[in-house]
Amino acid sequence: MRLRPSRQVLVGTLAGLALLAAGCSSGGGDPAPAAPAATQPPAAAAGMNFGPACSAVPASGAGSFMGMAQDPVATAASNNPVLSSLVGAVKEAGLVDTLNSADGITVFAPTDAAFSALPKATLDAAMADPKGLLTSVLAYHVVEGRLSPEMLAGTHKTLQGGTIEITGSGESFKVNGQSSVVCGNVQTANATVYIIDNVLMPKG
Amino acid sequence: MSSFFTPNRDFYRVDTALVVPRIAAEDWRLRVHGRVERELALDFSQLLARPLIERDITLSCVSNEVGGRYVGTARWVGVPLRDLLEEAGVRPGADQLVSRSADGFTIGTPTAAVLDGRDAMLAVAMNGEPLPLTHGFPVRMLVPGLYGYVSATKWLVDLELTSFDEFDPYWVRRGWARQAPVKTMARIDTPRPLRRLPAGQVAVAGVAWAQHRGIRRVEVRIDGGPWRPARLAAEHSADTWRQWVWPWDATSGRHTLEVRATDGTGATQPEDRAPPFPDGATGWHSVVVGVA
Repeated sequence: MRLRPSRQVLVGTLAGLALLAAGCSSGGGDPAPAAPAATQPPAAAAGMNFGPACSAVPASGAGSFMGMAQDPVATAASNNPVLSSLVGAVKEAGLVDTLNSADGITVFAPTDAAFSALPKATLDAAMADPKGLLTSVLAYHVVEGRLSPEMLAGTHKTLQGGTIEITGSGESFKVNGQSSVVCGNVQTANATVYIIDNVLMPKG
Repeated sequence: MSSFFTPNRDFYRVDTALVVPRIAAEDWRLRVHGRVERELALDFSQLLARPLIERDITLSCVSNEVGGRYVGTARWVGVPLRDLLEEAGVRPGADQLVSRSADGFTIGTPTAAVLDGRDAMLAVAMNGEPLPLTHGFPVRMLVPGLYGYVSATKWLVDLELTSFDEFDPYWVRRGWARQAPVKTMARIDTPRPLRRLPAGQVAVAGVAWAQHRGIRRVEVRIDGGPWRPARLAAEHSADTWRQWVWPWDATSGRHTLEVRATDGTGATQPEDRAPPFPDGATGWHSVVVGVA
């Protein structure tokens, strides 16, 4: 059933709001305009990245820190030149939409160099089993919730089911004792990303 | 699953306004000019004195990725745009309607779409209240079936009848398509990606949209298997999305869910992926979940 709004009520409301908008200088309930507000805002301020590899991130365009902050995580990674192997693996595993649509996650993203350092047999086995081993390995790099740097140290359950152990503090962190965070606290529209220099392998 | 109407506070917002234009309704003016028989100038009370219509319309952004959230549905109240343009008398050859926001932003819309009988409107209210400031107060444009960047001008102050040859609006100058009807899309809202679910009955549900063509069918498949028809909510109108649900007997293991929609013309979403640039993304939304 549709109710036709009373024009008098509407005009009255609109006129009243007009006076408010004309007179007031403070923001009332309106947020400061910024990037699209479709998903939850980033947990930490964009621009607080740390780590030696951050300089490899492009200064402008879709692959820059500002560009990545506007895109969901798989799309953001696809615009980043040091993450092309990861993006290829995510596509092979059919996880692009899943990662892009997830609400509020943390992704530990191995660099292309990290993928090159994997034994060929391991990489081949994973790529030959995209829905099984490859998906497990990739899910082992994802933690629910957006972890700020202050929340990193400790044990975290991954979406694969196993846990990762993060040690360190400030701007220096290691995952599972062997993979260093080389550019951390990268904001994307739905995920906080920590770029790491070794691929993490789930146990068992 | 998404509720049918998207509350104003949750409605997506995409624009280039670093500072939200603040126009008092009493100061608002609209000018209709260009290739017209007569120019029009309206103030807010004159706009509201015209016959008002109330329409439910789903609005979507061209930059919406597959599975994205840049889409929403609201009940809009406003003035039919076709009537206004017919009063001005559109001259032959004026195939582009250029609309301008108070901050200088420009949008170009095919005049034919505005005049073809669909509910193109100048909206003043959204979901029962005056347009919020961030959603275009006091007046915005809406043309069902077109992406927002070629139709949904916020903080509207100027309408100019011109031609596509004569003027490139803001996003067209940046390489986005001049014409952009909405592409058919479906989205899985539940279960959420990478969830661990108990085995047994799981409701797979979401929304599908193809504004102005309507949604005829939605299908779901598991792990690349056969497509199964989902149950659709009654069609509200061809200009709104449709909610759908499919009961899944989930077996243990990791599974990939995919969805695809067929629009009112009988065309099914293509599988191939197109990125949002330059005229909208395509692809079947997929969600990977684990079942115990």
